[in-house]
Formats: sequence, C-alpha cells, structure tokens
Amino acid sequence: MSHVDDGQLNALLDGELDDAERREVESHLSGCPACRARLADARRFLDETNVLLGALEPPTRNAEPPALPGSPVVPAPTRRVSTTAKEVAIDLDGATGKSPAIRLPPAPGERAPGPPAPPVARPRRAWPVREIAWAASIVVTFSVGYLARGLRRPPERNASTAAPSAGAVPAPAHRGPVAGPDTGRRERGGARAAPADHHTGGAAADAAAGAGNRPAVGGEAKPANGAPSPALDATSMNGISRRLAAQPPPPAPAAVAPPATTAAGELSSEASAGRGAQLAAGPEASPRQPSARTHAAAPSAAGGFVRVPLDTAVAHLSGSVRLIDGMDPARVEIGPANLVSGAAAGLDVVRLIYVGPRGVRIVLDQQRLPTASVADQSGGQGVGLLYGDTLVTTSGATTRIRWLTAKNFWVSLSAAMEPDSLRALLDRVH
Amino acid sequence: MYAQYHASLVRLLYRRTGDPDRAQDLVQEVFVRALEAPPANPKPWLFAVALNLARDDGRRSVRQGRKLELLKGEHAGRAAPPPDEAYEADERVRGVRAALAQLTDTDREALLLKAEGFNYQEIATAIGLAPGAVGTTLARARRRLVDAYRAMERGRDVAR
Repeated sequence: MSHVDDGQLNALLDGELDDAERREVESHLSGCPACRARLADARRFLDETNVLLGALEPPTRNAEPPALPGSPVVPAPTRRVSTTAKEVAIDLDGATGKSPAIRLPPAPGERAPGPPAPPVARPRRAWPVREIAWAASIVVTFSVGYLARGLRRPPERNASTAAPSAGAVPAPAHRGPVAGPDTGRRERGGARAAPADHHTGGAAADAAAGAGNRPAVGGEAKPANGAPSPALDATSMNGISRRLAAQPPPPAPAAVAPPATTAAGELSSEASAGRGAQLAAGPEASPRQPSARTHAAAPSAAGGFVRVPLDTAVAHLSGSVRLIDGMDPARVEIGPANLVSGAAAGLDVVRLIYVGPRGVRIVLDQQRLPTASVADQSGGQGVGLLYGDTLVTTSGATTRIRWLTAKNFWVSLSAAMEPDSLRALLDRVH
Repeated sequence: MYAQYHASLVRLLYRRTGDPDRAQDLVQEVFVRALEAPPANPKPWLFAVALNLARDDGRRSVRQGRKLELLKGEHAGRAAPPPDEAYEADERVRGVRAALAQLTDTDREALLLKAEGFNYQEIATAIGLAPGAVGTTLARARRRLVDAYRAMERGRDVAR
C-alpha cells in the first residue's frame, strides 16, 4: 500500500481501525521507517494534547451536579448548592429555599463518602420524607418546650395541665413534663431550621401548638385543626404562645418549608427581641444547652447562612473583615461555602448584606483562605483566581465581582447593578 | 442522562468558554432543551447543542460587550505577586487556552469531544463531519494545538 496518512495513523492510535484496516496499516508500518517516524510524531502530539487539555479542568466545587430547572429527575442525595452566577442571583433575591437550583446542605455526617448515587425519578419539588420528618420533629419539640416550661412553673399543676393539652390532639402525652433537657437541644436545632418569614415562623409554631405532645417521629407536620385549644390558652400558654397559636393555620407546605439561608438568623434575632428568648434561652427549658443566640454565633457548615454579630464574623476571618466604606451592613451572616459560587470548599463564608441606594441589596461575601488553597489552581480548594485577578460576571440584572486580596481574602461583591456601578462600589471595599 | 453527562458537559464547556459559571449555565440550558425535545440519541445531541450554545454565546458576548472579563492587575494596589507555583499553573492554563483559541471551531470541537471519550462516529455525528474525516481532523488539530502552545512558550521564554 501507499504511505499511511495522518488520519489513519491517528485512527490507529485511537483504536478506531477495524481489524482489516489495522492489519494493513501495521503491515505497511513494519516496512516503512518514514511512516513509523510519523506514527511516533502522531503519538507524541496525541499524548501532549491530552496533557495540555488536562490542564483545563473546571474548578471542582461540588461532586454532584446541581438540580436541573424543569427536570423531573433529581439525583436523590443531591443537596449541593449554587455554583453559577445565576443561582447566586436567585440567592440574592432571598428565595434560596424555594430555588430549584439551591438545595439543603448536608447534615453533619449524613453524606457518606463515595460516588453519588444514581438519580431517582420523583416529582421535582417533593420534599424528601426525611427532611419533612426532621422539620416536623423540630416543630413538635418547640411546642414541647412551651408546654414543658409552662407546666413546670407550677409543679403541682402538672397532672392537670398535661391532660388537657394532650387532649387537644389525639396523641400520647408521655413526653410532656419530662422533656425539659432534651427540649433545649431540639429548640436549638429549631432555631436554625425555622422558616424565614414571620408568617411561616408563626405557622410552624401554630402547627406545633396543634401537634401538642406528639412524639417527634417521622411524618408530615400538619397545621393545627382550626382554632387553638382553649385548654392550652387557659392553662399553660403564656401571652406569646397565645399570639402564635391565634394565627391562622397555614397551608401544609408552609409548615414543612425548608430552612432558608437566612432562616436561623431571622429567628435568632427575634429570640433576642423577646418572642423566642423565653423559648430557647430560658434556664428552665434547657439548663445545659446554650441559647439560640449562642448557637447562632458559632454556626457550622451544615446549615444555611446564620446571622451573627460583626465581632463573630471578624473573629472568623482571623481578625479582619472587608467592609464597604461609608455604609453600614444591614446583616452579618456566616454560612457554608457550598452556598456561594466560587467560594473555597470547606471554609465558611462571611456574608455582609448592605442595602444600597433605592433599596438595592448588596452582598459582600468573603473568606480568609489558607495560602495553600490559593496556590492550588488545579481544583480542590482552589478558587480559580490569582492575586490581582478580578472576575466580573453578569447574569440577568445581577453583576458579581470576585477577587483575591493580598491577605488571602477571597471576596465576592454582587448586586443588581450595572458592572460599572458595582466596580465603583468595589473601590470602597476595604 | 443528566447524571451521566453532566460532568463531561461542564468540562467540555469550561474548556470551550474558559468560564466555569458560564459553563454551568450553558449545561443547564442544554438539559432544558433536552427536556423540551428529548433526543433519540442523547450523547451526540447533548454535546452538539452544548457546542452550538457555546458558539452562540461567544458571539453574543462579544456583541453585547458583556464578555467575561479577566482583568489582570486592576486592583494592583491590593495585590501581591502570586506564588511561583500558582503563577506557573496559571501560565500553563493561559497558554493552553490561547493555543485552543487558534484552532478552527471544527478542530477545537473534535479535540474537546475526543477528550470526553467520544469515538470517531460520535464526533462525526456531533459536529457534522464525515466519519472518514475525523482521523484527519484530529491529526491536524493535535498538531496545531501542540505547535501553537510551543510557539507561545518560546515567545514567553524570549520575553523573559
């Protein structure tokens, strides 16, 4: 045969020749040094191409793919969050809990190492039973906290009050008066998990009041059956809980709404304002457990964003925080990196939320990176930026600018602004 | 389908666009389209749509002036010199990206699809080549990529 062309040589190297073609080419190569030399060249080009392309690995942030908008298929264990600017934009709108692209972060120790499980077909917005059960248990323990506290204050009335409150729902009452210490721990979880807005917060408590002393087990949390129980009002509930119980029962999905990123922060701030303070911080309710406020000050990466005092955020960033000059942050939060696109995995993100002109919400996210992670550009914890890089992305009306500072701060500034306006704001970040 | 091809599509589009966020967005768009009109032969279809979207996105980005910007040294006042290793890695990525950019669409896409494990028939289907032309296309693309990268490395060494 005539000389082998480069296409055939590459096909040989790629294993794309059928047996007859391969035999013919190999037969020619055995007697043709020129073609063997070209084969060697082709192999070198192939190998080098693979090495070069291997340098272009996308940043590895999350092992599992995000939920697909509009898809009927959701990978069962997927709880990863936001990786794109678009998803962050959803996050900025405060609709994190409702976003199809943003899911609950894993509970501690929940996700086992290993490859992600295959997808399981299910309705997209259906909440996993486990999460519903979790939410329900929190809701129920809230009510246990109320009741146990009210019941314990006049000890001699325990027997008489436990019975009517148990009578409010057809459920066993055996956990009522003895649930004190456990209640504190559960309330702490509840503070992190409560729905963000006031209505659903009240709704959850309402559902809890209706649930009475039902043991905290799996199953859907249901709203109370109509009006609050007179027995509860008369005997064990203080004014606050009466107000909560008097709110109309919510639709079922609201009662089992997942925690939004800001949910725990909302509740902890309300706790300090009064409503929850007696719930979570009361020594009788939980003598051994820290208060909800204490818990909020030391969040773990397992939850969403948690409101914290600025001092806590500064301490989290090793003593220094980036602020926007001339503006006061409306909120300071800490949350897990997997809620923030581009953030280094495994490090909590400090989020400062400002309200700019015309009510524009401005979000300043930051992490203090270990030096090693900055150097690791091939993935892992690398954030895909180098010192001096400024990455500007736009998605819809939202602009996002990310950069690395000399002090190993990964900073992300985003708002629904024109890029130029946001860049002007960037110059005020110090 | 989603679990099977998601990571591969993200990698391909990241290599094609250079922007991980954009790659994720485009992959979402690919699957949205797949849901709207489920393809009979998903693999080449998904990747063909992905590459088409990347091409369109690149043109639109240039037109609208909202192309991803990687602005070196804009905040030089805050920046410190990068560590050597990171600098080297970054140089390599830039070099490969620039070398890829010198290829024709067909050559580049054939390379990227091959890197995702496509066989010649699948490459031919995805980018509209004759199956017999794939080997030649890949041979040319590989040689040009390597040559372009080496030329850039030489230029950088001279500049130093």
